[in-house]
Amino acid sequence: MPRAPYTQEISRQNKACFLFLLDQSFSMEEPLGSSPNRKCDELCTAINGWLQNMAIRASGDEGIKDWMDVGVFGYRTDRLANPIIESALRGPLAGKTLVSISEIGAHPARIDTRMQRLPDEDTGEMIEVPCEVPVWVDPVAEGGTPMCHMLYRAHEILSDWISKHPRSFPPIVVHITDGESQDGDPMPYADAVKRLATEDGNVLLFNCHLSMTAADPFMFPSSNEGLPDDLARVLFQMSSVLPDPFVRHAVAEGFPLQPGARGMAFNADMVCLIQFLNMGTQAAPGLR
Amino acid sequence: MEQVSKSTTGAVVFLVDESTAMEARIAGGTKSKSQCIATALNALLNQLAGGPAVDVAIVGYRVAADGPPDIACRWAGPLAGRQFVSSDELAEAPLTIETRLRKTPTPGGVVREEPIRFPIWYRPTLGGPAVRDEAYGYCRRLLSAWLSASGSQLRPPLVISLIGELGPEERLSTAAKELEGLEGLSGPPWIVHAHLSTSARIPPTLYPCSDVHLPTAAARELFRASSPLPPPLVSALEQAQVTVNPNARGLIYNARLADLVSFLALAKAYAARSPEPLFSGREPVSQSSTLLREKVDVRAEAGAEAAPRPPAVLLVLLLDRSVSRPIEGATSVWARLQQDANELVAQIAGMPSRGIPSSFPAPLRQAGETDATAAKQAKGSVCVAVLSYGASASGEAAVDRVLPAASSGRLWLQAGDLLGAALRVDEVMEQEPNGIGGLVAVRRKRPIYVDQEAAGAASPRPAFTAVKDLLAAWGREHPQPAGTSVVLHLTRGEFPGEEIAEAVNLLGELDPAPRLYHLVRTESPHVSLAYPDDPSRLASPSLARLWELSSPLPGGQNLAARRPALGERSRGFVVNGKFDLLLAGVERYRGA
Repeated sequence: MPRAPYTQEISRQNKACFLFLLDQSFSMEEPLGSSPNRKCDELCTAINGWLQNMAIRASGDEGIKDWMDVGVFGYRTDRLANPIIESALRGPLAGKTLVSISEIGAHPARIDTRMQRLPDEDTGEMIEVPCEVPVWVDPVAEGGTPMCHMLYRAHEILSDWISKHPRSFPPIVVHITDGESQDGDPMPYADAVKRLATEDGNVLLFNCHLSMTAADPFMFPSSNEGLPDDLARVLFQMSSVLPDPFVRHAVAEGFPLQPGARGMAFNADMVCLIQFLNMGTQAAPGLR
Repeated sequence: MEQVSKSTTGAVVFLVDESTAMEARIAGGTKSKSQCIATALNALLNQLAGGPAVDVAIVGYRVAADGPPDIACRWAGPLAGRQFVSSDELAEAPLTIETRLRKTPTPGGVVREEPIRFPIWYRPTLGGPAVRDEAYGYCRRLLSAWLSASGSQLRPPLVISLIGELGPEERLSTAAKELEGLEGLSGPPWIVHAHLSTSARIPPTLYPCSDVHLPTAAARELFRASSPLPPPLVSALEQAQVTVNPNARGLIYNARLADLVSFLALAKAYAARSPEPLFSGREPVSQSSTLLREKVDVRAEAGAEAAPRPPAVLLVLLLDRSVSRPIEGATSVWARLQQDANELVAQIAGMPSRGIPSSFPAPLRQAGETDATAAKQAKGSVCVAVLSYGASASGEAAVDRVLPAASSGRLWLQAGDLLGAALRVDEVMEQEPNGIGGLVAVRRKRPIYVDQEAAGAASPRPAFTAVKDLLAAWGREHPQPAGTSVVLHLTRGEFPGEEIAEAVNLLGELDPAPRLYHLVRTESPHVSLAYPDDPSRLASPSLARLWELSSPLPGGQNLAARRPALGERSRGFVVNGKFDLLLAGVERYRGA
């Protein structure tokens, strides 16, 4: 009797795979939402924070558990409109396609000092405390948006990984963009990626759109109807329907999900982006 | 049956915390809180004894050594067993008379000590902490009995509660609510609180008008449990050189000894009132918040006329309450527009776009800071008015003055007065970025200024006429304003025909004409646009018309430096997003 999909335990034997596809086009230089910070800066803050969390979670008493392979890719074009699809990792891991989480933990590009905001228990005020954060990716914003090329490359990377991990929880692809594809219709490429599968189910493709205007975000919509424009509708079609564990987690976090909700966020600001990233990881069984 | 004084000149109940927390030393003094309260209270009783008659009760609460709570009236000696005692009986019946040294400075710097007679009526015994709710319940019963014996009153009783330490989980407002339901009153009892501080390093909060600066949830509850000060008590404080703002509450938090003494003088002021209704011609109010909302801001107005006014700019928010289908309350466009309006007014009041954090000092740099900085600069020189319009179910169109309320007699409010003018302040928990890629949950306060129902579609003409009249009045009073007035029209954007153009033209008849901006929330899905420089992406002719009628944003080049997508042709027009450049636009004017 076949087991339900998306239930494979994540372990050293059956690793998980997370692949980030980051829009590095020129418009990523614009501010995110109504904050003064640029989209590319906020995105890197979020990704670096996510990587640090995963590295910490993967480390236990017996050293780092290699539960996960991670890839972080950026896509943009050069001045001649040639697509540049490359790993966004810096430092010792520069240029690597997929690395294990233990390698992430061991080899940040550098350590930065950033100000962390914390509530002060005694007075209820928010205070800023300098803290050291590891950095793996840096902001890039130039050129256009070759989304199809990126998805094509993602397909190659994932096919290869799946052939080596046929029984694993299916790879999760998190695509973050702020605009439309400029090298053609991305739908067929997205479909191809979603057709890839392990024994535990199809690859999950989640899409998050970052907005410059302080617009209302749409998180995990279940239908095209309420979406404000064509770009939103395309991203919606590109996104996988959320499997049950993800739905349960999102509902527990307070998102009012309808059946058929997709892993998609539109007009995300920094809070939505972080929530979106967290949702992807926390819901996977065993990856806690 | 208890004897109750026959005089009808009001009642004061002192509700005194007698827990061991009161052993702590008071800030600014050398004695314990309990000793200070006893001295201050006895001194006050001595003064009351010489003044107009008032009925007094002292209720202490603690837990006795053998377990059960001991909540009772504390008269002793000749007055033992009494509940209310008229102040004119006090002189004859102290518990004891002590001799104390009064120190008076003489010219030349020498301090002279003279022995004085110090009658004592109250001598506290401390015990474990009693449940405060029960003490308030006891007060209620006490006052209830007093009321039935003395008949209906022209003046509500005054409850003065003295607290040594607030537990972090205390929720006093529920206990205080018990007292509000007393019958036979011209209003709920006035309940004022003094919380005594132990640390001189923490500044006291005296008679706040909002709970914004109170550091803990329990303190904010205490705020809610404290009544707004009625005018006679306000005057009394001012005569004692204590600054009190409009809508101030009878609360001193983290008070020192000196603050306590001025605070207790409120009882004298209360007793000194002649027995006439203190709210003549007004209906009894049952909700402090209503009082806050409708109270005529006489003092603020008087103050404002006296001080020289800085050059000012007027911002008018005009809200279209119409929805096409009266449905889904929280998610209707009206609900969104109302939320937008509340956020914008809060911003003008000087708070950053995500509301203010739960305590002072000023919040840290965060999202929307450019506008928050503008808000700080604009505060004091920006005046605000909010109007709304819509048709009732019967089809009658109405234009409402939402802020300031029509009953206040004022047409606009200064930014500095906005905080005190909120209908209420909601508290919400929100997630915010923590600066390193994670989220932190923060309690934020959202003041609410607009709280109305959705309505049917109405012609905008009467609304724009009202705005025009408002701007004309402004123009007469401010012949040289700091900049052009701004009207922000918040609407769902459905105006058939040319009615909106005609309405807008009314504003064009003013000289100088105001700038007109639009914030549109559409009922059907529409792409979000902020300050577009052409109407090509607007889906309907009605929206395009609104865009055409909107003024350009001033200082286009400078704005472009902040926002890449803005330019000189960008209009003050936002669809399905936040109008985050509202104040930046105003700031522009001040130099223009």
